[in-house]
Amino acid sequence: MTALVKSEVLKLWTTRLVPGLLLTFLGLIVLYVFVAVSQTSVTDIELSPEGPFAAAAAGVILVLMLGVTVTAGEYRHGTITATFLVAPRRERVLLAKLVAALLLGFAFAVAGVVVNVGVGWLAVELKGADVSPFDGAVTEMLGGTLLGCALWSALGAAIGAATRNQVTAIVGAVVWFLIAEPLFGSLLDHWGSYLPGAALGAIFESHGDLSRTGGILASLGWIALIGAIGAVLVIRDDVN
Amino acid sequence: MLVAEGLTKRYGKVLAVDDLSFQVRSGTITGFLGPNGAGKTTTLRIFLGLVHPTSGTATIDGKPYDRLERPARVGAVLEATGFYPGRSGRDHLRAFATAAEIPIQRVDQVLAVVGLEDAANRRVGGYSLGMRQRLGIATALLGDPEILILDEPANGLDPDGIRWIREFMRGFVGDGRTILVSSHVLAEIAQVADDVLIIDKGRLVAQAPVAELTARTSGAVRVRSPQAKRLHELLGPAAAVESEGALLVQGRSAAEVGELAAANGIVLHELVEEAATLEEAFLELTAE
Repeated sequence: MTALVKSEVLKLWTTRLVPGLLLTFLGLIVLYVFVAVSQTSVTDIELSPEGPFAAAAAGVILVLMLGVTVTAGEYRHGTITATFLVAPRRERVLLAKLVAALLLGFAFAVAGVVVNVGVGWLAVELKGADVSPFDGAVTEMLGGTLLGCALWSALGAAIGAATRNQVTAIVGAVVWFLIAEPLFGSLLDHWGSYLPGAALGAIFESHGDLSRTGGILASLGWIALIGAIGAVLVIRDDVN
Repeated sequence: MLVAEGLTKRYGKVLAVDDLSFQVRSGTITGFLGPNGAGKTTTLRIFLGLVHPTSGTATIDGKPYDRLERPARVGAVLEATGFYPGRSGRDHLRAFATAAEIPIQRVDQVLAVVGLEDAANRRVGGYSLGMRQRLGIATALLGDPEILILDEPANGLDPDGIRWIREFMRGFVGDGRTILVSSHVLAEIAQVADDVLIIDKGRLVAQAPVAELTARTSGAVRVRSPQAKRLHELLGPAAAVESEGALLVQGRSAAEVGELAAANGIVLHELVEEAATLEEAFLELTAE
């Protein structure tokens, strides 16, 4: 199993997409910090100190794309055939892919948090605001970022397995998270907080109806549900 | 040994493989022949666990592929196998060697076997078709397999590439290993295969050693004579005009034709018994 996970990580890291996603993710974080700090007054920064340190959360769609690549990417390029020849027990391959997605999502988060803390701290110091990333609320949110990114990546892997099509998965996810879910969410009242985007969001920062723990549990539920659908389809279907 | 028993695969209304049963002997090159769409690729993919049969079984040494203790002892080069274009040949091999727990040194060995050392660090996107085919073979060889399954390995290759594949196959079975190779290009198979399996519309048409198969199919006698017309009259419908002054005779041996000519005082310029080629055997067997 360890060998399969190593192979998955190696496969991802030797694509051009994954290092590109990481650079984009880190670049977005720097940009976000710059905008957040320059557009906010010192008083407002001191009132809500997590602001400049919430940059990683803004880039989660990239982490989702990372996860999608873990599963659907191999169908796109036809390498899934070689993968199943080496490891014909597809359920083991899928489990390895899930672990690889969690690990890489976490690695993205660690890099993102390091950059966010470094750049954010420098920015607030230059601005003259009395804020530290080791402030309770900020630290809590950064911790949520580490877990939240890993789970976004796992969710991406589950969606990628269920669709086995990179473009469908990414377009579908963007439409869902940016348009459909906010609409449904408002119709569903407080149940809307349990929809996947809101549930994952609660891990970064708990909101009205959902605590952080509730967000983690709801997110795991979504990953398990979509992942199970993906596993059934991947195992059942022929690879032609 | 590869064994198919009652193998059937249905895609909707289309029966791609229809109650196919055969065995592939160890230590041989078995050519798997059939026209395009005969069900060759589907059958090979069923053996490799990629396609689930509707019914029947395909086993390798008694086990389905996904129950083999070491799947890497079976190597496969399939047509639709893709490569990530941005990844180097070496990284491609490293990824799959890692998954199969094969030491990384093996990567350089297989690169040398297929002659890709110089291109190993280049992106696969820039490889020619022949180089990709070699990289596919290198991937299949990672686990030092005892059995190789090749799906149309010569497709799209130039004559050099085709010769390379043929020599590679000969060398591979030289050590008592087994190859099952599909093709619709008969000339390719005829030169290397020991046994031939012929399928058409998903059904087994023939399975035999190449020599036996060509012998089974009727040959013809070619006879050339300045008195061809007279000879044609004597032979009747068994003869057909091949060209000016030459006849092709079916169902008579060269000796019979020669004796008939001598008895009638006919001069012969040429008398040859032409063995049926595998291609003729194939066309005869897969004819409607």
